[in-house]
Amino acid sequence: MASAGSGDEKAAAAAMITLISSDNEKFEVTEATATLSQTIRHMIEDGCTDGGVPLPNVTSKILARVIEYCKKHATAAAGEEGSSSSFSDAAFLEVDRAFLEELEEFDDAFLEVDRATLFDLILAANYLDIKGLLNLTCQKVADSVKGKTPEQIREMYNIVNDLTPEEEAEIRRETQWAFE
Amino acid sequence: MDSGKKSACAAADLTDDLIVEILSRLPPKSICRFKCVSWHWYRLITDPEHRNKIPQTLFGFFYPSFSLNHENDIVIFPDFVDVVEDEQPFSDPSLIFMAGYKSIVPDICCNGLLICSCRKASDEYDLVVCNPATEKWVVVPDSGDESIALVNHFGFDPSISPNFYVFQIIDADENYGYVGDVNIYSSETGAWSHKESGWGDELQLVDRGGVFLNGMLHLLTYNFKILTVDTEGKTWRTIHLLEPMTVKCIWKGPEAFIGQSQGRLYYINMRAGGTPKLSVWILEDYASGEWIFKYSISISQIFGEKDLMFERDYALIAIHPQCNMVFFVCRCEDKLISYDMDHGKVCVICSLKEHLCHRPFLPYLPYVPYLSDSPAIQG
Repeated sequence: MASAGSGDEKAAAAAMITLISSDNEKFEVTEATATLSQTIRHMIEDGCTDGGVPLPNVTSKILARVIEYCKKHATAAAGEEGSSSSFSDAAFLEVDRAFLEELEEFDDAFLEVDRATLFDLILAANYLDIKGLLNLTCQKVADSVKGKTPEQIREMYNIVNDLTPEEEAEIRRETQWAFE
Repeated sequence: MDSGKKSACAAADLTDDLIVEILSRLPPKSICRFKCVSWHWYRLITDPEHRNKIPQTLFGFFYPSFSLNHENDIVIFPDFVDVVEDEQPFSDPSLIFMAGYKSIVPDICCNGLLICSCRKASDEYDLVVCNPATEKWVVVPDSGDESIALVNHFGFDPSISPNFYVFQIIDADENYGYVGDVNIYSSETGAWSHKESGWGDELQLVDRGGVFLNGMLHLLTYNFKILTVDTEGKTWRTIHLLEPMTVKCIWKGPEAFIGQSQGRLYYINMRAGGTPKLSVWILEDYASGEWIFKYSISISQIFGEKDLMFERDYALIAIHPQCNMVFFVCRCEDKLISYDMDHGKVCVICSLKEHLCHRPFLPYLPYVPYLSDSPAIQG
């Protein structure tokens, strides 16, 4: 849809960006990888990425994971270019499917982390504005709390119940069907 | 809120927006339960600002189910087919909390409220709006208009207004089936008002071609136009279709479908001939009426290489309100099938309880629960 020529895109893909984590570790990534983050994309557009992009909210441990995700998905985005509306070509569809399956496997493996890391990934995805990663991580949390009771949720996430017993009983009465 | 320990992995580390982001991916029943987690969560879930985000889940479909009562009369009550795996939405989907009716036909479902035609013991009909999640319901008074009504449509969007609206489309020409004036009922005023049509003449509506979006009712016509009107009957508009969108079938005009997903209007038509396919357009720019062509789906991709005919062997029943997914029912196998348009994935959701031997296809009404008590409906 966009009129930007693919030639420009290719030239941009070769450019490298330096990302600097909160603990001062430097990561060299291609622009194609970095621009999966809307936050960084805007910084690049505004021309303020010389000398590296400091990311004071993201630790090196988390940033390494985020970059791993972006690298994989940047390849996927490049593959999808120019084919978004054509579902007719069966051969293409096969290749596409195989690739999507591989991507799904990658995502599944990527999410095999502890709860604290998962939360840090959500915060980083939000801060860096990486839609796909935010989707993926939030869905993972949602899947893990689905079907749980309020007590289990409080325990899982260290949430203090500040409702009085009367208030809680009242809310339970309103939402009784959800407990059946 | 902050326990001080960063490593403790508390949900408190997440901003409200992110908690809402997570909650929005949960089945409605979980969300409803989680109101009890804490005051903070209760406020997040019940905040009107978040209402159009929570819950986002399509729960399943209401449909009319036919059975015989003990006097051997055919009676109709709603039944439900769910698409969410692990949680049963209702103890009883037949909505018997609306007591005193012999028959309840679910007509239209819009953002969690359902409008039904209910037959009383006296064989008179009530138009009833209900919320299946909270079991609250209200009878809509008769419009008092003696003219022939073509159809009723229904609109409710809690992100815009807590009120619901009923649109009664009047026959312009005594049984010729042309669109005429519109009576609009607002739950705010509790009254009907008559509005003179601002659309033009000789327009005929496609069955079940109604969508409530952006506070406007949208109606698909056989004349390759989509008619819209607001809830006050002040703004009337005609959205034109592009030439390739206008597929004519010999018997019935356009074999087309309109629906809404992710806040945009979708138009889907079916082309028979060599390789039957569905084509999907999105109204990209609502204000200017600019359509973009989005997907082309060959029917064999979904159902395999069978000689199937649209509306005879299968029907498109809905589009998922939150993602690019469409739902079909298939007569030959009595199955509900979903098709993910972004990934080309087919998924058989379940077998249908109702055998689809009779024609036409039953309406399947996509249901996304609305969990708060609407002030418009007092039980």
